[in-house]
Amino acid sequence: MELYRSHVLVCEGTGCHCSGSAEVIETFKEELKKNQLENEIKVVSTGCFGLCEIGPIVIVYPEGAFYSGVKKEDVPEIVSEHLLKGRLVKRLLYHDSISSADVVKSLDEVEFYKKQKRVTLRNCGVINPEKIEEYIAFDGYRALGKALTEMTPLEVIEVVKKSGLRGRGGAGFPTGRKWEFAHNAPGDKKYVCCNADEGDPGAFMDRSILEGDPHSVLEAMAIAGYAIGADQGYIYIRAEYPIAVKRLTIAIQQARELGLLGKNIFGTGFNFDIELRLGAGAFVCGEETALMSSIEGKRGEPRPRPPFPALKGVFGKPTLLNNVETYANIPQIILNGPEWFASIGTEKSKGTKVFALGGKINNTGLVEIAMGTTLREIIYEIGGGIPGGKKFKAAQTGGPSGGCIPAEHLDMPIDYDSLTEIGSMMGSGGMIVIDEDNCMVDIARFFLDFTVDESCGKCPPCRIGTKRMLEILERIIQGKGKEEDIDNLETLAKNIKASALCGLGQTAPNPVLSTLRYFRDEYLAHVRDKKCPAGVCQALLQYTIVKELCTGCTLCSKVCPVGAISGERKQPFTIDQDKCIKCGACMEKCRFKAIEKR
Amino acid sequence: MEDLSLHILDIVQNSIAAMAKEIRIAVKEDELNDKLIVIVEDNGKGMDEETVKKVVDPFYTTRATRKVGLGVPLLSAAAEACGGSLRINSKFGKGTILEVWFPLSHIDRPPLGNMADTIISLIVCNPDVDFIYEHSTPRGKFDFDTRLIRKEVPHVSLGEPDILDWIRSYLSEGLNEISGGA
Amino acid sequence: MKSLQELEEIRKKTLESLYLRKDRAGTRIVVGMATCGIAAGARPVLLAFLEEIKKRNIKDVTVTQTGCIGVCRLEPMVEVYLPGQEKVTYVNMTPDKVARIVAQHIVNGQPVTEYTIGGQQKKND
Repeated sequence: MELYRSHVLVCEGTGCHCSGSAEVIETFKEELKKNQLENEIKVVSTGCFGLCEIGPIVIVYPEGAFYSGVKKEDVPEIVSEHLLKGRLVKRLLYHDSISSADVVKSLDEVEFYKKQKRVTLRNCGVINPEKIEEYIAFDGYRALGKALTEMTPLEVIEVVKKSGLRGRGGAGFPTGRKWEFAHNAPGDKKYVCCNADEGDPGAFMDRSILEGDPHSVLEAMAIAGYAIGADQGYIYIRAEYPIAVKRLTIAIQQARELGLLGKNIFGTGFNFDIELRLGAGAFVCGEETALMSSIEGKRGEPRPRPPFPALKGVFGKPTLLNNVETYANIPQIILNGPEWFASIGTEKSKGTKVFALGGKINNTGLVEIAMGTTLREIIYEIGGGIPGGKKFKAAQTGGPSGGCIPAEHLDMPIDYDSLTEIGSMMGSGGMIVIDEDNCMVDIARFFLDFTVDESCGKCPPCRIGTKRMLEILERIIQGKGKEEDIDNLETLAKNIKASALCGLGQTAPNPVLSTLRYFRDEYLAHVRDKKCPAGVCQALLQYTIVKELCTGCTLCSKVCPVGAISGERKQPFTIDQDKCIKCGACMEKCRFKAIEKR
Repeated sequence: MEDLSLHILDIVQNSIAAMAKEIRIAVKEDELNDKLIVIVEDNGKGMDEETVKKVVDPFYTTRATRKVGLGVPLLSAAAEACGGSLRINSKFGKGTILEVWFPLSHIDRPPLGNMADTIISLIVCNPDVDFIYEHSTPRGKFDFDTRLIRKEVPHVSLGEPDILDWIRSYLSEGLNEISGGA
Repeated sequence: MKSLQELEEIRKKTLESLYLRKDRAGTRIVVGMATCGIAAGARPVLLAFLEEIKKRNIKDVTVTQTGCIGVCRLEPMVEVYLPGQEKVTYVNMTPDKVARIVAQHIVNGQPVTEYTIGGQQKKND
């Protein structure tokens, strides 16, 4: 058996990959060869470790030294100083990972990880996702073995029900009950599907699980197949995730080779296999009936329910559809027992949730927290606060279907029900942090723009209604808002919510409703005062010259393309607002900071 | 035992077994009176008069794994072999003081050995116990007190590698200064 | 896969090579420090362990002492407790054996059987 004295783990999730981690790995391999260390030190590609802001991440075991922002030029130094001489390269260590006594902290003490509870992400950053043996080493496929040999399908469903697991795709429907429906549906051909479409802008939780620990999803789907009586599974994954697709393909193949997928698994007579189906860029295909339509080869369009997918889904057969993160919890629930899972989280929201932190926050990346953790803890303790010390304004959860949480609710515990109470929703886990420099009307418009673009067009409320809402918003932002616009927005929103065919339409008005609820004053400023308080909406901004600072040097008037600036030499100049096209050239030219934009 | 530092390491084990939280080790090289005195004082649970008398008996021990307790008898024998002696004062519930002296210049006196290694070993294995070490020679006096170190680095265990390194160099430098070299 | 047994075997085998990445919290190295141990040379062995662990920047390992275990003729003795594994007792320890134990057992999770009581007997057979 080879005895290495050190393992060097390099994150090869999409985030770090884009920051150059593939080259870092190659350089490591070269340098180790140059120093004749290949037989002592192993380089391992692994999944997302969460601190995407400062990737590429490299972790050296057994010390657990956590290097961040590693470029390929840094690799020779790490090899010669740390691996050869045993001296940690302090300048590359993640700043919070060394204590004041210069001792490498264990990860549980690092601020970013202290409050996290990595359940679905436990293998990400620890194993090589392209080696099934490593997944097996850390208890992989034992849950499937236990389910097949020691439990009946009904017992498996009981365990999932008792655990209190709720769908992590956003709606939070009790998973055990969904499995029960599919189990009870009559029919001898059933399907298990996995929703890996992850269309929310800014969400990458599912991507990281699929890239870092694909087998956890495969194992869970097989367990689900056993529970409901299905022998075929489909993973519907968006084509924009090439690395995840590659890892899943390798994982499925390796599982088949070892007989963990296919016929007669563990000699119990249970058959189960999984195929991938690639999406083609449609957000609506994340909706369950549209997804199933797409698997069948048709255009992704939702259909009315009932009949629900559990009775009639893919190819008209009973189908179970769950989200990637929901599945990722299953193996551990089976192994550790439902009570273990139920002991984490709040009364109605058990377990953990993975959030993709983005926007105006210091530690952008992937975090997993127990339900019930407050927003303040997530943003200020785990997230490291707002960059530049700016003021927190809101956190947007649930993507284009969700709403915002304002500062007054910072101490709210995050769980399904408390979020819906305040007009937002858990969503799939994308969390965009907004600060004082963002305009809430503009944010609402951004999300509505997205949903209008992605609407499939089948039902008029969504096809026509959301477009009308978007037109109103754009007029408001252009400074042409009318007094009745806000009421119209609200009426339209309520009607669309009540009549749209699928979740996309039903939730599209949420960002608008939510921002209206908490930031109505911003809307009013746009409509009545034709001003954008955050200073974002270009059309509402005016460039003005501050008289006290202007020296009359004429530089700005010379550079103005439309001749809107005039004045006498050595006297303060003025800008004619009717002529001004708001290009900003004058502000750039002024050497006295005498031109401001508000 | 090769040298006195190992004897001392052994004797201090008794203090630790007696649940002492503060152990003072004093070594005095008294050239004037030709004596090498070693004192080990602890605030452990102490012994009554009866037990004190039995301690020098090699066949007396409080442990269950063996029927011999050789630490004190060996040290006592080493002292007596060159004309020195050992005595123990103890108060049940208060603590114990063990004092042993050797003629400094006697040819059969065991060498002192590496006290720094002994102190380091004691600290590593018992990071929550306070050790006070005093060593005086004609050339000077050296003091070491873990309580002072704890004040400097309050939330760090003394067993941390960097702290141990610092203690080791502090000890060897300090002891070098006051020793004659041998 | 035909049986759970096969799965267990893959798991055990791979876990050995991944031991390096696992959390070592709870690892204990216990050195016998009774009179027999000290006389036989336990102190240099203890110091050698400290040195080796420091060299490799390994944290979460506690080094501590114990009294007489009872088999004095095999001193110096060292017991190694790895989380989730049975304790391993090394006998007749010397400072030069320490490096291999740290590299093979503590870091890679593979006990050095020839330094244990069983290993000693094999040598004598």
